[in-house]
Amino acid sequence: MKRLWKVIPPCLSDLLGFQMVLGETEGMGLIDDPSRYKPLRRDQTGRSSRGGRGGGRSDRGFRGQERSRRGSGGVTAGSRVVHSDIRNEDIITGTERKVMAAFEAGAGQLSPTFVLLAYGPSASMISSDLEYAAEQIQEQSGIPALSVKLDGEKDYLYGIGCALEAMGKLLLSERRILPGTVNLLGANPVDWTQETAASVETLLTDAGWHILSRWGMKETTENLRNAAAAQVNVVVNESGLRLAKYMQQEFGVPYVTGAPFGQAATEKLLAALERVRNGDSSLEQPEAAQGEPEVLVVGEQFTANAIRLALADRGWEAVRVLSFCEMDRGEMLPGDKKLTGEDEFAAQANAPSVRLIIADRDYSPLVKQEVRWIGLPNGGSLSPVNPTANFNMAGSRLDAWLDVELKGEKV
Amino acid sequence: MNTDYNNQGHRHGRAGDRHERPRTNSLEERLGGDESAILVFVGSLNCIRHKPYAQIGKMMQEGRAALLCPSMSDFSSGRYLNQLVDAIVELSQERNTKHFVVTCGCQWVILSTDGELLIERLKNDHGIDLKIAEDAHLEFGDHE
Repeated sequence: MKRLWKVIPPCLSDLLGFQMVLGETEGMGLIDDPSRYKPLRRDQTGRSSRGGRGGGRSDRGFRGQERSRRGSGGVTAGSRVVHSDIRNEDIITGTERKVMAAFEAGAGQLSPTFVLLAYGPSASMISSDLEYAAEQIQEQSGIPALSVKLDGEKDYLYGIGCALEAMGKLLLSERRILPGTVNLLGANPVDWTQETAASVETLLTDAGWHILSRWGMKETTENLRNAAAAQVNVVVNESGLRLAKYMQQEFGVPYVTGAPFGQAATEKLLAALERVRNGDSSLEQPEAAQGEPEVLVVGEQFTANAIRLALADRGWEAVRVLSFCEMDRGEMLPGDKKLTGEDEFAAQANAPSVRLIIADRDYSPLVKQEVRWIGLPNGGSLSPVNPTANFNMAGSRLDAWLDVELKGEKV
Repeated sequence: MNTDYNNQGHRHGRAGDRHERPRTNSLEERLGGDESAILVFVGSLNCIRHKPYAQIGKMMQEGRAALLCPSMSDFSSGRYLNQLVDAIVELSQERNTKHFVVTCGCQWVILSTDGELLIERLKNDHGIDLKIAEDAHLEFGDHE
């Protein structure tokens, strides 16, 4: 049954993606919602659900939210997202007063350089006017503010993508192009480790590119404001595409796409960048998928596409990419599919042609046939049961991992 | 089964008629010690971020919990009520149980959902026992 999840643990919502992105900036998020947004924590073990251990981040599945002290006026210690703390009576009288109070309290403590507002599910149901609230905030405080159409229904990639696009609309303005410069779009703390981001930056730097700004990972507002000066945008995760398309349309900044994971995907991305550097605007034609799938890769689209390229180098040709999260049609090959429910995944995974599945192991109870399974990290799982540790896939590291997992097996 | 937080009917929207939140953050305890019972959450994906749901994945894989995430239009059109009945009947048939506990997000409260009617419908039409553990933040605020 559509919309009924019986086996697969839920993923992070769009609003948690929004929160993750805001947490990497000098801005502030304000969600019109009755309950707080505690700082999100990712731990090494993937076993402890909240509080107490501290330490590492982004190397294992997300495990809930940190225990945190409740601050005043919707401000939660350690979070850059405040909430309006609405209650039943506000459903009748409107949430405007509480939204403005939450802004005042949050701005007092966080000194944001910009503000993004979003709807919690209940505020969305009663159509709170956050566009007006954003205008009021900007007018009264001088801090740039914009509302984002998120309501807690969709997945974290959608939330990250919309938040990044909104940041672009708020912060960017025309700049003189600086040759040899790029922005990194979509690398985010849900899907990527800090080590992955650092390695990808090294890859780009070694190829002669200077990185102006990072959209999704830790970055200053000043760097974000200067991003329209880049010669080209590098979109490394599906969540960066909305912003890339906006920047192309508004400022003429072209973009190339792909996660540089594995030698094949890295070479493809660097070659695309060189074509832009040389003024060649021709697009590479996507390869066609072949026949019924032998392999399913289920995960964030750009990472999964990179794994498909690496598999092709190892003789696996009929590879299909699936995802429960946002997917971009332009990045799909024939047969790829955005999954809307467990039944769709089960139908794909139980097809007789499938021999290998690379995906979160928590999906495996839905597979009723003998297939080989390689666990894929899934930082977007809200309540993982059998998590695979996240790791740095940049450059040839993905190849090394695949070779170990496949044990040299080829078609 | 523990009935401390059993459904109190269509009570929302009445000024001053505030009921107690479930005393426990444990979903297992909300099932009241009934090992055959299944917990069904109805609401947005976003609501699962709260403390009681930290172990929801494990319970789902054990066949003891499920999520129904209707769209905003499902809620506003009232379709979510039939979706919930269909979901419970499907789970009942697949997992061979007649005992369910529903917990819900804020939409349930905003729409003044008539829980008693659902309980009667499932009992009369399908012989299913349903309890409703209301835990909406709009009514009760944050978990401690």
